[in-house]
Amino acid sequence: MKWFLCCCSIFIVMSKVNAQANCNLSLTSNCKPTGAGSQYIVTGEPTINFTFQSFGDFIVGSNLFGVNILKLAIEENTAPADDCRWRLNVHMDNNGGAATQWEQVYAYGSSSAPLPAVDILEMRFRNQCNTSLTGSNYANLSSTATNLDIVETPGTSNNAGTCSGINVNRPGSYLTNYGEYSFAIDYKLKPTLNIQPGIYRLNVRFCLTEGN
Amino acid sequence: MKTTPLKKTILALGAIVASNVAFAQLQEEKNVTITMDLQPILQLKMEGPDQLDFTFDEINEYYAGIVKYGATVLKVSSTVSFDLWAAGLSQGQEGSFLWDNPVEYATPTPASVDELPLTALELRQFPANPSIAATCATTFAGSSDYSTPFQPVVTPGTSVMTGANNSIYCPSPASPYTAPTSTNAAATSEKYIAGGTGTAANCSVLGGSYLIGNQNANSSAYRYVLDYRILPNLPVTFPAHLAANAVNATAPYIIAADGATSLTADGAVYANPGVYTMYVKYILAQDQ
Repeated sequence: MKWFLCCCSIFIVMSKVNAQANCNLSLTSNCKPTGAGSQYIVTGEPTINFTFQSFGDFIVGSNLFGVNILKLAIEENTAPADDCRWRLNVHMDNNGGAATQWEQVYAYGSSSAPLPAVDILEMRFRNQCNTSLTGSNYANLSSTATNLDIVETPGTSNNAGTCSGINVNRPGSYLTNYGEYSFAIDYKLKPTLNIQPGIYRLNVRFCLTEGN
Repeated sequence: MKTTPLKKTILALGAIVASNVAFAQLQEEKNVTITMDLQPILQLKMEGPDQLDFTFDEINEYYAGIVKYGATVLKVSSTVSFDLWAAGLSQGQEGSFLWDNPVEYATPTPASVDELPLTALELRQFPANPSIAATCATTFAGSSDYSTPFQPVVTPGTSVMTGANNSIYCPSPASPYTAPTSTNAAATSEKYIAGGTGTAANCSVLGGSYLIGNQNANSSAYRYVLDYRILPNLPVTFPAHLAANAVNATAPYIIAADGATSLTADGAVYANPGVYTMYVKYILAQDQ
């Protein structure tokens, strides 16, 4: 029986670590989790398709504006007081492929040309108060092993309500301060020439964690 | 109270559950999947007339031939590395590798034949095949493209020429999209306008367009000007295709075209008067 209990404990601990492997590991519990007060909502299409079927498409690229919107409502625990700060970042998953390349789902032909790089996908995170770290600029990730922070200031509390400045990271809600707790996401994709024609896939993951 | 093993188990599980509750954290992720459909784009724009007429009704035209300078301009836009070549073809009314002969001005005789090789048509391109200068291992200067000048007949009344090397590539009509083989020895290579056999380095032109990048018509790899020549000579044997004159006479398509006609020597047999037709297919193909 003791052995059984030990195995159960190890299994539960390992499960928790794996689930957090790609998002930042939270070390504190000052904010209420989602489902217990906090909310994290994404609206829009869960799958976004880009099709490039003319030379002009390749040269110009393709922009999709406000395809997804992230909405946050963060509540903090009563104790410790005033110590809930959250962090929002994004990273990519290509189903175990090389860290700098898209996952190839289907190849048109048998080309030996390189696969597209993940950094051709650019994202912009907009809200009315411009609280994103990337501001009004597009940003990209060069690897699936790295994260791109949208909101992140550990140890520093930036309260909502003033609609001035980046990194608002304290409790609040998109219902009362929409310009600071929502992020409209624009995608820009511009493929390069001389890569393998085919269908590719990349998963974009938006992580909400404590940011203390 | 005595603690039984079962009670211990329940207590331990209770501790684990309690631990999970105590460490409940703000941690959640949302996923959006991006798919990208990259289709290979190969666009070939051809400027110039769809039909070229060569009418030989003057003696000097037989001796000097007729040249259509810059009759075709090819412009390429491609997202992938490519090869570009010309294929000389006909409907095969007279046989494979021969011009069609819809109208005869006289009945053919043993010496007057209506079997004209497709290789009687010569091309000249500008600029040269960039894969040659880029040292593609399967291309050969002077043999793997149409950039050499049209050669004249040295002695009027005979078919003796300085080595000609501009006869059009003619694939088998059963497989008209077969790419030329530029891996033969120098001077026997089959011709590309751009690129070469295989996917080795420099044996294709990188994707790009005449619209962007280098727009210098002297050196752009995405724009080619083509001249056409037909040189009948008198008697009409089309000397450029003859094995004695063609520098790349042992290239497979030259052999095939020569083998399909009896116009293989100087003057013993000559072409029958009439209207002859053939067509040129310009092929742009992915090569990467």
